[in-house]
Amino acid sequence: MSRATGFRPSWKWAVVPLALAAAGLFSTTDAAAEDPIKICVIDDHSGDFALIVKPKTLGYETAIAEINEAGGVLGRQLEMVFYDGQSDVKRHQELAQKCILDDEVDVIMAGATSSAREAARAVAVENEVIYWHNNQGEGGIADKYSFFTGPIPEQQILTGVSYMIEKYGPKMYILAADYGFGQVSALWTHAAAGLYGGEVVGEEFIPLGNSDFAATIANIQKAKPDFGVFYLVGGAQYNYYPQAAAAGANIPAVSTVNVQQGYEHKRYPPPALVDMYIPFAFVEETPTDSARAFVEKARAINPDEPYINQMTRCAYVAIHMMALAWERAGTTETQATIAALESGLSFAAPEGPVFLDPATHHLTMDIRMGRVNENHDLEFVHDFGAIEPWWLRTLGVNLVRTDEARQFLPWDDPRLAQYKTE
Amino acid sequence: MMPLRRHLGLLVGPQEMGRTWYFWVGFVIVIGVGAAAPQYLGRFDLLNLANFLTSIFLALSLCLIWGFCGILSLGQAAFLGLGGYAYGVAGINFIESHGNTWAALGIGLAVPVLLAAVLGFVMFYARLKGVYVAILMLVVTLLFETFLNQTAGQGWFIGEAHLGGNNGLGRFSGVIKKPPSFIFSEGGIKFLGKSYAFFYLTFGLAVLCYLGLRILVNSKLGYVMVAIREDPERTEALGYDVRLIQLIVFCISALLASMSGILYVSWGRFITPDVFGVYNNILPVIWVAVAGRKSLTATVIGTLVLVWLSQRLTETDYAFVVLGGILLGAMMLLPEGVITGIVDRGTALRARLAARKSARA
Amino acid sequence: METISFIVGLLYQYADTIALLALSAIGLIIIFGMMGVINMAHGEMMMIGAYITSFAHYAGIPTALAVILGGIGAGLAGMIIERLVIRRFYGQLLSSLVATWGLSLILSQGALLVFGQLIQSVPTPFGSFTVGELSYSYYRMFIFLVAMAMIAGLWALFRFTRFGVRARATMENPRMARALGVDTSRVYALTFGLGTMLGGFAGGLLALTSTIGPFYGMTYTPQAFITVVVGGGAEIVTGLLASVLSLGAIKTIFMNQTNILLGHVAMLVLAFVIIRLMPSGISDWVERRQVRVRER
Repeated sequence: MSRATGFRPSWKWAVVPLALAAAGLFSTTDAAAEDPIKICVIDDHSGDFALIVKPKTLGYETAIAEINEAGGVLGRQLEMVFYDGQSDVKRHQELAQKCILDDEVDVIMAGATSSAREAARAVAVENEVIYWHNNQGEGGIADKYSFFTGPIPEQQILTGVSYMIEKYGPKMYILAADYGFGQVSALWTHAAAGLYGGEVVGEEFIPLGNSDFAATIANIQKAKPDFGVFYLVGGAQYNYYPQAAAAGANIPAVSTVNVQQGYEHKRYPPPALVDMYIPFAFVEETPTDSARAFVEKARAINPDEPYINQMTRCAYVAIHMMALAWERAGTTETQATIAALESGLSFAAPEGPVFLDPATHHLTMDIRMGRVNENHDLEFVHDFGAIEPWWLRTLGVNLVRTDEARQFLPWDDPRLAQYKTE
Repeated sequence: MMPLRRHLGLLVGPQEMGRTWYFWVGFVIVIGVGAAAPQYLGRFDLLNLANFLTSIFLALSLCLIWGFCGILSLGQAAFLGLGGYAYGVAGINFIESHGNTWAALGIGLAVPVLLAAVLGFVMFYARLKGVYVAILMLVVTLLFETFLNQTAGQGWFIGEAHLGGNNGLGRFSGVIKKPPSFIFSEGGIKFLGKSYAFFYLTFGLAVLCYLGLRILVNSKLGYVMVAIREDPERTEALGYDVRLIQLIVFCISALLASMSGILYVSWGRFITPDVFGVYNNILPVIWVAVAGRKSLTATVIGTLVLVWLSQRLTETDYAFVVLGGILLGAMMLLPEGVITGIVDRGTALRARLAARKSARA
Repeated sequence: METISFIVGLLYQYADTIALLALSAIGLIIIFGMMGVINMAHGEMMMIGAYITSFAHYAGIPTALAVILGGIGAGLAGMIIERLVIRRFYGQLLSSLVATWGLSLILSQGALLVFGQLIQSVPTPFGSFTVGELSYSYYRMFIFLVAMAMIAGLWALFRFTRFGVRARATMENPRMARALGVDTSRVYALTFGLGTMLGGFAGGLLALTSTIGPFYGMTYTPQAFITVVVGGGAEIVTGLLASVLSLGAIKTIFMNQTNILLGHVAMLVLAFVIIRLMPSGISDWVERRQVRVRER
């Protein structure tokens, strides 16, 4: 017999799927009234986006600690069910499913980039679970189950670009990461230019992961803009700043993503970001007492966090909004909670009061303009006041009455699209 | 009936572990346990298991060309991604409007195989060796990633399907048209993507592919494949057309990988250019290398365990460290793979014990 | 004036692209050519060099010295890794690739866990110069010159030193070299250390002009590989030069005339074509032609 060459016992192989199945079985639980309210958080703690997203988790932790100390919500404690999204879009989808079907959470807060957001959000909406996206984004999503705490184009781009035109002149150069967020932001910039008498003298879409900007720097110099409008995303693309500075090609610029998330002014030595203008809702240096108190509170929970960024604030606001809604609804049941969220909630956010707009599920918030000065400190140069999320409303969106379940894109709105001429 | 029996005989050929009756008893038990999964698994676990199972085809595709034919591809996910995108684009155009899943399936399988045929022709007929094929495939997959990442603009429609850039296929136009799940409505039975039926479909296909590949590697083609892996020049000298065989195996592996892609898209109705990225191309290399690249059985088991493990590790910040450690440790201690390594050692030990016993007697 | 400024701009971009390709690939090609090992953790060696440079700079050490320290640190790390890991994988291209990829995951995520996400960039020295309407960075030209000097130095090292002769002998035929009294295991350790040191040094140089983070090296890894494979392992210096000159040229022209995306695509397509036409890289092809000419 040729047995010796073959392979022997095999009952062992059955162990693996059995173990797999068993591991799955262990995680089933029953929900009772005294059980904590579960909040699913999927944030990137490894991979390319860990740098900007880690502070977000701290925002959740800060709010949850605060609420639990004060006795919780509806007599129940809040519990964060955390997963590392690993900067991987596919992972966000799987984990959102795990949160809903396995952990049976009451709300999902997940995804930083627009792609990760859509992956997780689709799962939440499909299963009728409330979803929150907690950093700035390209806006336009009108959906019954989706809520947003971050600033959107009408709050950041129109304000920021109009300020820059007034201060530096009409000519601008757009540099945008080549994906959904960058494309939408670029179109809003065209609209802002058209509305406020500006002119787009150049536009470049940068592939994600590109780190070499010699050609781009030359193109910008040739176009001679008065200022730049930058939507650069991810570790590699940040390389633009030191490279432009080294070539002596810095121009004043406005950005909705830099500094408020990636604290580049702290990571690069001057003069890389001098004259960078930031329309923001929150940065660590926000000049209000409540902001300073918030930074202190967050630092007390994690003293090692290098920078308390806008994501920290967004996450913090989202938890508090949910707590308010659950209290008002008197239950964590989804439809009742949505009704409560749509009842006109307001909250004292670190930078000032915010109001959750029932019609669009976005926040009305204070927007300020910051400028990075010669020492890479942030100065505050302008206060735009409270700005409403008005764009979706002008398209006739009213989520209280009708669920649109879609994203509106600016090129579908002729009032904005007309400004993009080519 | 003779050919059938001969083919079944090939199931237990010497190219693959599992030639004893207790292996097959175990195999039947595993099939039973697997088939009964909907009875004892919760909704999420079942969904998740189906997701894990979709990875098996990709792993087997790499096992076949790397483990058996000696060609490492660092861009195997290119076939997965292309299959997924092709199925998705065709699906958006055909399934939702005409309910024609078969056409979408056909396109999803054909496009990657065609690409493999062209690439294989270019590479193998130039007699490219080892690392060059690996890197060329990496180049190919990076090209796809770079290209698809910049398709968020409004010009990138194929029929009704918007490529969507980094946001994923069909996810970034005003009216969202996501890639659909399978819909088979032949004979009045409606088959929907996310039901038990999907689990059984994936499970059944995985078992069939596993058994089919067992037969393949023990067939004449299989022996020639292994000969090419061991020594291509000598195989050539024996009169075999090494290039042609490499090309055929490459196409088969592309077919398998594209099955992963199609099933994955049907499962989650979701695909982004990330599937073409470096990480997703190295992942199957890890599964296959750690488990034992020269064994289909080891590959299947290892893949399931590792996919499960890397999902579990998302509760910590240590996922990459642990995965990297497993990979490094496995390559250093058991370079032929953990599962094959343990099995080989077990077999050797038993042989030695038997030899000692017979010497004493 | 316009044409001069255009040509200067193009040449600057060409030099810049060449410098990036050469710096990211130089350590890798030594290890690949000499040892038949693919070091997927090469990007992490660059990361180590960049981290040490940043830490040293902010500890008050002069920048030039900080960059050199980065190289030395990465070289030492490389020697340790060679002893512990690489030793088992000489000549096993594919296994070494897989094993070092594991190492790369551990090192990059480990750096994130240990040092956190905040690594301060180092200011770029030397300022800028202007030609026509465009201004350029002196430092980027400086690193181009350093990259060229490194390649020249490497050529001299292999050509004129005892180590170089032994290393080439070991590469040609390790068994014969051993029989002739060469301590091949020491040669391997030193070669690997040299490769990682050059990687760390390159990482330190680039750290002065880019973002530094745990995944810093991964930005460079794929293009470094493509450069190395296009160059081939037969003759390190000519291979590397031919590879960076050709890939750099096409990338620069396409980036300058179209956009960044097409620049990347054109480079990848050219890499594909070169590998297809010269299956073992440019250097191997050149070498075989030379042999043929000599035989004639």
